[in-house]
Amino acid sequence: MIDEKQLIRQCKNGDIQAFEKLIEGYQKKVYNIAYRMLGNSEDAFDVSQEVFIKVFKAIVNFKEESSFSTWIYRIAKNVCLDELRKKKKAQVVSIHSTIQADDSEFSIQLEDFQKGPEELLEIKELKNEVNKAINCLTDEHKLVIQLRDISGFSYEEIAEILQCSLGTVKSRISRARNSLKNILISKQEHFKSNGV
Amino acid sequence: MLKCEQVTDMISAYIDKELTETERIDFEEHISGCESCKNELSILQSIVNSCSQIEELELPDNFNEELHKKLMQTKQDQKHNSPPWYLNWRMYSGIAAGLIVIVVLKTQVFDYMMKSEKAYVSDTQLNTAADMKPFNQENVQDQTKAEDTLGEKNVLNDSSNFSVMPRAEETENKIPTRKQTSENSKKQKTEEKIQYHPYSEAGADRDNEANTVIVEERNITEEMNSKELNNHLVMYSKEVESTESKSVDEPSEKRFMLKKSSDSLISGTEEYSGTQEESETDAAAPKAAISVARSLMSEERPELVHVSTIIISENDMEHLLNKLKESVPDYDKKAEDVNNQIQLKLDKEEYLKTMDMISALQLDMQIDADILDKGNEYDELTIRKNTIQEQIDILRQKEESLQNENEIQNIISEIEKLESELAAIDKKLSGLIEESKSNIIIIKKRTQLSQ
Repeated sequence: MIDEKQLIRQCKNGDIQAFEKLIEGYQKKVYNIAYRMLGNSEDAFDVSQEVFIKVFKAIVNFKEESSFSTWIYRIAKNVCLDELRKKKKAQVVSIHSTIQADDSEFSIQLEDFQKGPEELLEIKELKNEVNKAINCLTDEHKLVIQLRDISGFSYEEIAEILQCSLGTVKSRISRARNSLKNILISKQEHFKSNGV
Repeated sequence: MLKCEQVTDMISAYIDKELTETERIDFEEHISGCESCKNELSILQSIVNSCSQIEELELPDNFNEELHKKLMQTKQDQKHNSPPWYLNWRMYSGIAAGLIVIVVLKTQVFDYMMKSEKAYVSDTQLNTAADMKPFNQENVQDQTKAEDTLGEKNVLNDSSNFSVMPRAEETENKIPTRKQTSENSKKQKTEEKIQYHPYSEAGADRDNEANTVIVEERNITEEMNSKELNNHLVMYSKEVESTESKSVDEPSEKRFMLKKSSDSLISGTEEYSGTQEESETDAAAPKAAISVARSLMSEERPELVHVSTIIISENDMEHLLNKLKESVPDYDKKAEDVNNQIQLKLDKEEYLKTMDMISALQLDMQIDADILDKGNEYDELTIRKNTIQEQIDILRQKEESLQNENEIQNIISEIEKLESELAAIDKKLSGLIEESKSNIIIIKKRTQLSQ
């Protein structure tokens, strides 16, 4: 395997082939982060392409102080949040779309959760419910759950990507998971009593 | 023994094995004796397990192909135009201002020229006037020198020089009495407020003042044919004069009322109120355009960007502050935390260096931040100021044509209102100028994804 630093040096000279090789291992994760944040494959496609174009343009200024991987995910995070911000500005907030409650945001799709409690006993079903519930989280919590529990980044990596302290990461993950739990509970009253 | 509340907060870290050894022992000790916490743990554990089973999506088939095309395109674009990155924050406002100036001048000055040509081209008297008062190159040079030496003082005097051009008519010895008094009162006011009037200090005569505007205008629209412009401007002066002369002979009490209300007016726009023809609104247009141009393009303007506000996402705040601590000597002495925003007072060199660093970080995507500088605010205020002045001009013209006492009174009170607004803007502008000398960087957190 060619050394990443070597590839980065080549990229700084505008070598597209080297760039494509360099990002190979990051594309899928970036696409998945974008998909999670934006909620549909079209936007995820566009945004993750934008991420790599930005990385390509900015790699000249990449100082190699942080690892390339966290830098690329940081850019992904920024582009996603930027896109969401743009979308939110353009969006007329509909009373049916979101309800703000404490620090969690519930999307109203109750029918998704009207299944019998016995189904929730099955891990497969629970996985689907959890997947849907993640999409009801705030953007910040969505991101942290995606990074930690789906993509499997370590706390240290997340701290670098989000550029915050380990303590912040710890408490944010904890809050995000609690919100997730609350969403699941609020949508399925019997969730708890069936002891998963 | 830990309380349930503390334990709940630790569950997440426990699942991820992020607790310290002692924390873990305490945690497990509590869990073994507390059913509700145990239950809580098992719920969260199953949620986390479920999450980890969510498969990641595969990349769409055409992803790499599309990306390759875009990369080729990007590389090509970069070859063709690679602006130096530091243009980013410093130059954009300047470019925007330049565009405004060009648009305003193109539409207003040329529009005016077209009209004045139609109206006066057959006027033989005009040609004589133009001959009598040719554009004096020496005067211009002298004036430019005088302006250069005055340097920064022009910032404050900007407001008082808007209407220098119409004063050309005074050299034709047709000064209406009202004009003179109001002119004097205006000057007095200006001198009280602003102690150094560049022209009174330099002792430049009014003839020169008329030329000043011409010089400036030439600077602004370099592509303009300057000879042609000069001719037009001479025509313009002539036009004001000839319309003025029609109304000079009708002394009226109304005008004195007007004078009273105009006392608080800082810039001498009242000269225009003497004219009653259509040409007056036309005359106001290039004047406003020139004053906008002057204030936007003038030498002193770049100083104003020395107060910047960085609005930064919460996540990146710490990173930026660390960078600042590294690069700014004596950071702790210079930084002040006021109402959750950090004010960094620097000297000019440090300011420029730090702003370069911040915009580099921004470009490098290391921070997610917006950089705003006070220059925009200054430009907005200047434009607003000029709009108000135009409104006042129009109201004054209207006032003169009215007979009914009540109506006149209404208009005067309206003018007074506008004038007080004008004074407030001037105060803000000089506040901005004052502030801009201080080289401050303000760092604020962006409210997280606020709607």
